[in-house]
Formats: sequence, structure tokens, C-alpha cells
Amino acid sequence: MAGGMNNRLLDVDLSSGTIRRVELDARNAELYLGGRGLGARLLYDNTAVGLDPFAPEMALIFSVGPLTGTAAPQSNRFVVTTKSPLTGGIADSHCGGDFATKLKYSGHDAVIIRGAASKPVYLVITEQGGRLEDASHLWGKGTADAQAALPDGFGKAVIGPAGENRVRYACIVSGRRVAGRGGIGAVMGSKNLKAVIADGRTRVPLARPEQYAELKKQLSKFLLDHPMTGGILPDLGTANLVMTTAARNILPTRNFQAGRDLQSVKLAGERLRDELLVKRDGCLSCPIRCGRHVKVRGREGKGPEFETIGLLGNNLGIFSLEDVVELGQLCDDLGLDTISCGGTLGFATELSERGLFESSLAWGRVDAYRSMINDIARRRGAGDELAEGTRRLAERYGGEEFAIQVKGLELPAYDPRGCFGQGLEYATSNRGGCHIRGSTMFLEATGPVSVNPHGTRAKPELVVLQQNTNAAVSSLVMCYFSAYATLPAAVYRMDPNSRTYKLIMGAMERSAPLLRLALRSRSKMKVMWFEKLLSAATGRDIGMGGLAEIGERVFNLERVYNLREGLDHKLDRLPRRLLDEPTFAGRERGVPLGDMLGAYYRLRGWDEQGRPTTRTLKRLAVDT
Amino acid sequence: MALFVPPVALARKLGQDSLRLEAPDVGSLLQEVRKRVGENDWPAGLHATVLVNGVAIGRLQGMATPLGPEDQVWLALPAGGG
Repeated sequence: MAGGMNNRLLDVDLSSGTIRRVELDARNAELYLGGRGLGARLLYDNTAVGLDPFAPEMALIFSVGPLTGTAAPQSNRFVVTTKSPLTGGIADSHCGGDFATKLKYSGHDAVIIRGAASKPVYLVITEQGGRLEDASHLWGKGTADAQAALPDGFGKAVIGPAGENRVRYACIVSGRRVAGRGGIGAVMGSKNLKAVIADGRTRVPLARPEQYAELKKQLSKFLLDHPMTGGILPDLGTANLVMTTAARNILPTRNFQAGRDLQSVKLAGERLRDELLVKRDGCLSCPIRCGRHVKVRGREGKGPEFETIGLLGNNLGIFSLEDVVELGQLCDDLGLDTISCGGTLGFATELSERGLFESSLAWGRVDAYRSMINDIARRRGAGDELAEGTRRLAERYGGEEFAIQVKGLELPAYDPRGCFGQGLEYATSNRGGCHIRGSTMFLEATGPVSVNPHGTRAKPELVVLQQNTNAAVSSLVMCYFSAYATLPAAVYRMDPNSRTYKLIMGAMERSAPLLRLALRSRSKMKVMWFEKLLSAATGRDIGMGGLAEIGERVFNLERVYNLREGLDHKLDRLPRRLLDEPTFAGRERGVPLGDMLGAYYRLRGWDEQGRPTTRTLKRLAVDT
Repeated sequence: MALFVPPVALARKLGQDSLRLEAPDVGSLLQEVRKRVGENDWPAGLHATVLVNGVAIGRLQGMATPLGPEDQVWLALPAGGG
């Protein structure tokens, strides 16, 4: 038995009320670890081809990984996987809080939920297994009230009215944290499942507990000493990105019509800290505490993440932090993904501005947006149409060229016209337009290094490297923010306007051959904490190369799932606005995606139509 | 006159979110800003990328990058998150 796992799944059929415990396939644990990888494998194996996301037979999978519940820094995360009602492809959404640890303590590594209950229920998971309870009294409640009404002491994952009403970008909320992307909350709602709660006392078996404890201590200290994870993130939260993205001209403004506004400074992280912050907040066992607890207009509550500020603030022409805080809290309570909601509102506003769609939406009109958000969650009036998301709205009313989505998923708050690699990452992301599948923008525009943001050299290599790493890290499961500490502290002390810095960035730009070697390497060296923790937890000897291979395997399995469901290479694209309309003076076009995509496919071992070759799948042991 | 938009810490020293400055190039503009803030009040450890219209001056002509009346000069600090 491998360490780090309970080796047990819970298989729930809501239609019949049958719940059974089954053994975790050891090969799946070996090849896919847990979290995102295990979720993808279980989805692939447990759903029929072409199944509608809202069909009762659709699987909704909660999974944790070998590091979950071990109190390693940033390891308390769970993943929810299903077929996205927005994209029709794989959706895996990740969340912090304390639910992950409690699920692991219940003695399970994953829960597969199929079927649909005849009336609202919630699922209780303990060491004894699972049971269903009546949730009629919770139906219609916001996520805060629903969690408060559930039994104390459990980790909780709930949906709000948006999920109940199958809004295609409904999320799942756990504590104050959100599994936001892809519409997983709508799938949960389609099953009449209001909540999943878990608790237990099963401790995680570790192969080398003393070594693991020492590694945890070292990592915690390292993260706290690092300028990003010990300085910038705790100090300003993710809102630290506002001024930098505005300076870089990549902060979406009025549905990506521009990369900043002079008023963007009003939304800066420093203002959030100095004017609204009450205290910092964080996930269980995370030393960083990047969450915000704020006070606005006499009321305390959760402060916004950068994405919420970008999409519900700047992108809607709203430049009051107080208003953004309240809109973000409203979305959380209704169970709406703030990114997709802000993106869809921005698109609908531009449609209205052009006379293509009738609504009261207009840039900066907070009351109209607040009212529409409520209508979206309850599918009232025009809100019913916005509840379908940007792509479907464009199919009905036009404006496809400025519908800012990839594969149906609305884009987050980094305009790729100022970070071309990020554009490639968006286009090729298996879950659609998402930044946190590699965060290439960190290496191009926002972080302490900047590999020519307007160049394509080494970008395919960087994107593949980042995507594989991300897939592996989110199968452990660890928060990807820990990866921001992989760049040494010394880099942060460099003068970014100096000649030396320019020389180093030039060398990075020419590093494609080296990166290709790195991508092929199967080194057994353990350099990063990811492979060290994984090896100590499981007892398996996994080096950098082995972990990268796991990430590559996960990414390819997701791709194969998407191809199986009809999402082919034609969807590896960006909206026309981002390809054709420059936001930088002197440029004739936006992201030169076509210059990067072919090289990307070749690097991945895919054919010209973006299909993994038989050889690639065999090399990675991806069974299809 | 080019528009200068500093990070918040520097804006507070300057007493405004942005300001228009007459300067032929980036170097002169930053010199003027330093003069207004005062060497003693310059935020410690400020390693910011200087950007003209969103492009790092390292990719332009460095401190000699010429400035026109429509140009915007922003300073970007390393940032991260999601």
C-alpha cells in the first residue's frame, strides 16, 4: 500500500440512494497521483461518450491527493472534476479552505457522485461511509447561510442559488474559498445536491514520517523567507497584481477594449490593505495567508482576489474598491464564478452599447450590475440569457469577435496581447480560457523575470513546461502559488532596467533548445519540494523528471477526453479581438497564435490536428 | 508632456496618483520625479520595471527612450498570484 493515500473511494448514486466504498485502483494512484490527475482518470472511465453535463449519469468527482491532510504548507486543496456545462470539455476546479483535509480524514481519496436525487439532499461523508440527508430547508439559501445551517465541525462544500438554477458558471463554495471555474456548481445543482460535508479522524499514512516532518518545516520557513510567498502575497494578497498588470497594459478594461484605465490605481492592492483590510485570511496549514478579510460600509467580510477586481472592477468600468468587494461577495453568496460572471457582464455591456442586446448595463453602473447578478443567479429576465455564458450569448446575439472566451470559458484578468505565451496557454488549456494552468504570464509580464512578452521565441517550450508542472502540482494537490517561489529571491533584487538583466532575459529568450532537453529529461534528481514531499509521503522514488512525466500524462489524458467529447484543434484559438486588435502602440496585430501553435503541437508529440499520437500515449501509459 | 503613473508607495510620496511632466526622455523624467520626491524619501528597495506605453524600456532605448505628449510612463513591481 502506497503512503499518502487512503486507497479508498466513495461511489454515490443519488438516483437510487446507493452508496458504496470501493478500493482505489493502485495503478491510477501510481500514474495519476490524486486531485486533478485522479479526477480526470475517473471522469474518463466513469462517463459515457457524449453525455450531457446535466444528465443524471454524469459524474461529479471530488478528489484529494497524497499530500492532502498532511499539514504540509499549501497542501490543503481539493479538486472537483466533471464535464463542463460551459465548454463541453473537462472541468476541474480547485479550492482551499479546510474541506480537503476533512475529506481525507474521512478515509477517502475521492468521491464519485452520479445520478440525481428526487428532492434536494446533502451528502455526509465520515469514516463509516456516506449518507444522504434532506436538504429541502437549505434549497434557495445563499452559500453563507447554507454553510451556517449545516452541522458544525465538518468541512463543507456547497452551492448557492446559481448552482440550483444551473447557471453555466456556477461554482462550489467551501468556507470562504471557491472552486470557481467551469460550471461545476451547475452540475451539482442538476443532481439536486446542495452540499457535501466531510469529517473523520483517519490520519494519513506516510512512508517516511520523520523526513516528511522535516521537509514541512523547511518548506514553511522557505516560503516565509521568500519575497513573493513571504512578502508580496501576505502583504497585499493577490491584489498585488493590479498595479503591475495596469503598468504592463494587460489589465482587462471594458471587455478587453483596453489594457488599463488611469482609474485602475483606485483598485490597487495597497489601497485594499490600507483602507479596507481588517486581517489576513488563509487556508488550513498555509503560512502565506493571501486571503483578505475586509470591512466595507460597516460590514465585515471576504475581500476580493485579483481576478475579482479585474473582472468585476476594471473590466466593467467600476473603479470603487468598496463596490467591487460587495459585488464579489454577492457572487460568492449566490455561487457564481466571479471571472465568468464579470466576463459575461462585460460582453453583454458591449453588446448593449452596440445595440445588439437590450439591457440596462452600462460601464460603471454598479446598481445595474448588482441587479443583473441577482437575475443571473435566479435566471430572471435578461439574467436567464447571461446565465448561459459569453459564448452562447454571442451565438444568439452576435459579437463573436469580441466574445472573450476560449472553448466557452471566459478569460481571466491577463490580456494576452501583452504576454504572448499566456495567449498560447489560454488557447491550449484543456479547461478553456484559464490562467492558472501554467501561469506563463508570471515569466513574461508580472513576475521578477520577463521573457519578451511580445515575442514568440521559447514560448511553446515555456508553456508546455509550465502546463506539465501545473498538472503535476495540482495532482499532489498543492496550491500553485508555491510555484511562484521557485524563482530565487536574488532575482527580485535585480534592477530590471539594467544591462545585466537585459542580458539574462535575452538568454532566457534563446533557451528553447535547453528547455526542450529539460522537457525530455527523466531526471531522478529531487530539487524542488514537490518531488521531495511526494517521495517522502508515498515511499516512491520520484524525481523531477518523474513528476514532470506525471503532469504530462495528466495533461494528455485531459486532451484525449476533450477530443473524445468533440473539442478538437479548431477550438485551440483566441477571440478575434485578441488576435487582430492591438493594444500596444506600433503593433499591427495582437497575439500571433499561429506562429506558436504548430511548434507547441510538435513539442507535445501531437499530430497537426492536435491529437496525441499513439506513440505519445503509449510512452505516457495513457490508456484510452 | 508625458504622463507618469507611479506605484502606490511612490504616489503617496508625490501626493498624487499620476502627474504630467515635461521631459524629453525617460531618464530626464525619472530624474525630475526623484527631485520632487527627494532622495531621502525615495522608497527603499524599489526595483521597478520602467514601462513606456506598456513596453519595458529595456526593449526600447533604455533611459534615452524619447517621450511625446501622448506617452504614459508606468513603473511595475514584481507581482504574483492568480
